[in-house]
Amino acid sequence: MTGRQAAALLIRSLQRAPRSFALSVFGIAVGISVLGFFLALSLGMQKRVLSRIFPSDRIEVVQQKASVDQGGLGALGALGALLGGPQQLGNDVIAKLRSHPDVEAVYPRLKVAFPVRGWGGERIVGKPIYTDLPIDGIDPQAVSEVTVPWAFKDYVSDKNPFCTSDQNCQSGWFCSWDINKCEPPVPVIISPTLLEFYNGSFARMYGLPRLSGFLVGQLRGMTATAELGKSFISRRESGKPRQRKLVLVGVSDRAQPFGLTVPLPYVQRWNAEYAGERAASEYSSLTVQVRPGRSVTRIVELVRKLGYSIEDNGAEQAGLAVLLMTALFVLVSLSTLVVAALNIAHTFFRAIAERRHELGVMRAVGASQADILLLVLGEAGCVGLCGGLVGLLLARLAGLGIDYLSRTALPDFPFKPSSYFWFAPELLLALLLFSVTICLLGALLPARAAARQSPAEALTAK
Amino acid sequence: MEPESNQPAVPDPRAASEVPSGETPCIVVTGLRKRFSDGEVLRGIDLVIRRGELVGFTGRSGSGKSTLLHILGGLDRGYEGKVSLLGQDLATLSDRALANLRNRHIGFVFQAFHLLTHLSCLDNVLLPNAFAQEPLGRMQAEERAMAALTRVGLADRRHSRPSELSGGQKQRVAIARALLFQPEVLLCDEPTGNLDDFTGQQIIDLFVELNRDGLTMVLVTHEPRVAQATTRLLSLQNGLMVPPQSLEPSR
Ligand SMILES: Nc1ncnc2c1ncn2[C@@H]1O[C@H](COP(=O)(O)OP(=O)(O)OP(=O)(O)O)[C@@H](O)[C@H]1O
Ligand SMILES: [Mg+2]
Repeated sequence: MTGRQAAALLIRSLQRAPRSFALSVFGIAVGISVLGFFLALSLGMQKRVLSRIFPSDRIEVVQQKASVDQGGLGALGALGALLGGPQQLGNDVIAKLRSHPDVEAVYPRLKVAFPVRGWGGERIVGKPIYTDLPIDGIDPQAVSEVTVPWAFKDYVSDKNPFCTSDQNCQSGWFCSWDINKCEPPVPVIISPTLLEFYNGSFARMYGLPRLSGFLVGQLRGMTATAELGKSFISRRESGKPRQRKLVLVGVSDRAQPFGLTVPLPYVQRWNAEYAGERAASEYSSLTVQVRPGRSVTRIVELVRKLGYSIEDNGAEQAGLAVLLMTALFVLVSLSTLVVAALNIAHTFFRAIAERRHELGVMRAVGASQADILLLVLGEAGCVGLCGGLVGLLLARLAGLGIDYLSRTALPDFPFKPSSYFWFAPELLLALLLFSVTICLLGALLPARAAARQSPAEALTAK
Repeated sequence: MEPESNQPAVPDPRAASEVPSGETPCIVVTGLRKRFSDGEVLRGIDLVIRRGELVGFTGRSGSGKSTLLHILGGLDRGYEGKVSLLGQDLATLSDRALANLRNRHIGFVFQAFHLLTHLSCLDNVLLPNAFAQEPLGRMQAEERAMAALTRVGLADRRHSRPSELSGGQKQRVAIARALLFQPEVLLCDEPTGNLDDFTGQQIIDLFVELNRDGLTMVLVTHEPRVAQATTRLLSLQNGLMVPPQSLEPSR
């Protein structure tokens, strides 16, 4: 039997019992649609939400923590701990990491190790906001390719002119009264995450304008005041408090997610002054940018071998949560599919019992056992294909519906995606194959029984 | 090549004597035994059917006529003994080869017609082509099918469904289906059993005509009328093949 002949027979065989065919297709479609819906949702969450919150092309290297979390490689770390605490993040590590082939760049970061508070933001909110400021510094190099590289630099110098008030200084500069010198404001970058949270919750709560596109550009040049060594929250004070002007120069995902990021040299100087030399001589973390297309795994290995840890940014937990949810729903939809497959088996057993004479006649006019097997499995494959297509269509429609509802009925929230789903072509293909496979499995036993029965018995059956 | 060359497990002088030298018989059966769970139905059948014969099988209901016919046509492989069709030992053939033999060289006609109800007459007649190892093209196949339908006088009903036909017409469509590939032998199991006298006679006339054109035929029948049309009549009794007692042996 050739493929064309088989196809012609199949089509006419399916046409004769449209209702039973439709029922089988429906059973499969339900399972596949639920499965497709949740897998696409999971993929969509990974791709459109998690990857925005937790970029996967870079890792944050930190000092090893108290030596509990290490596995086999931990012996080295434990030894290091015995020989005088965790290893410091210094320039030698940076050099080692930079020489790794998968590493595009390594940028040291340093957190401000003393309290800072600040106020500003009149231009958006209308009145100043008072808050403690988490500040960290990053190698200005890190920002060179994004936003405004020329603005994100250390401009402080001994040769800055003398002043007693801002009027003595050139436009845009301010008088640092504690040292009586004109200085440019400290350039600050903020993260898209911070913007998202502003837009998604803060702006909505206080009825403020959303900041996106050119509005973000308008923010540029906005100044605020920071007071070093003081806090609104704690009474902790250190050193001699002083005020510095800050100026927002851009939005970059190199900035820390919740806080302000300034050029590293500022933080090094400030830490040396307010928290001691040691706080200035090492880094609090290293941002390692992975080369495009490379994976982080080998770098992570190297980091562990060198005796350092990877900052846990919550990506794993969030990914795990999504995975668990997905697994749950996949289990549910798989059980629907098992039921559908059993239904197929049942339907086909009944069908071949009803068609015993027909199968006998086919054998009599020249069908081999393999031909019969092929015909029965072919019908099941058609059910699987149609069920898969219908199911995927249903899933897609459900996805579109939910995206539409989210757009029109849900308020903004941070990282609200335009679509929660990603119907990857590979996913569609895999599900279609899966659907066909399930049906073939369901029909396997009936098909074997049909092929193996003796034609004489099939023809004489009552 | 033939069983007679082996050590004769079951001596059968008649079988040997009836084979015309130089020609392979159409069917040669030696020592055929068939057992169902409730007992032995065929207890050592020896039989030679030459090309061009029109052989009739009679026997009481339950005597094993259908069983024998199915075995001869390669529809039932669970037997003991040796069955050769057109010189080929059926037991040695693979499932595929046996299917090919049925497809190209054997035609079946059943009492219950066994047409596929969801196919038109033409498509029913075309069914063997679907399972042919080298199927004919659509045009050629339809030409042949139409020739077969014309032969049985039903060319004008090619688009009808079997349900729209009378019993005699159904049986003629079934015969056309059996004739599609111009087989060497036609095996018919009570082909007129479901038909009235007049229609039955038409079918018998058709068989006689086909036989005259050289088709070897084996007919299972209860009806004396059919039996009279045969060139040789055999009877199954107690699982053995004997010449019939009650019917006229030949025309
Ligand atoms: N598949 C089967 N399983 C068990 N016994 C069977 C089977 N097929 C036939 N038999 C038995 O074999 C015997 C012969 O049956 P068969 O159909 O060959 O008789 P028959 O001569 O064709 O009868 P009829 O004239 O009624 O058609 C019967 O006793 C029947 O019960
Ligand atoms: Mg019978």
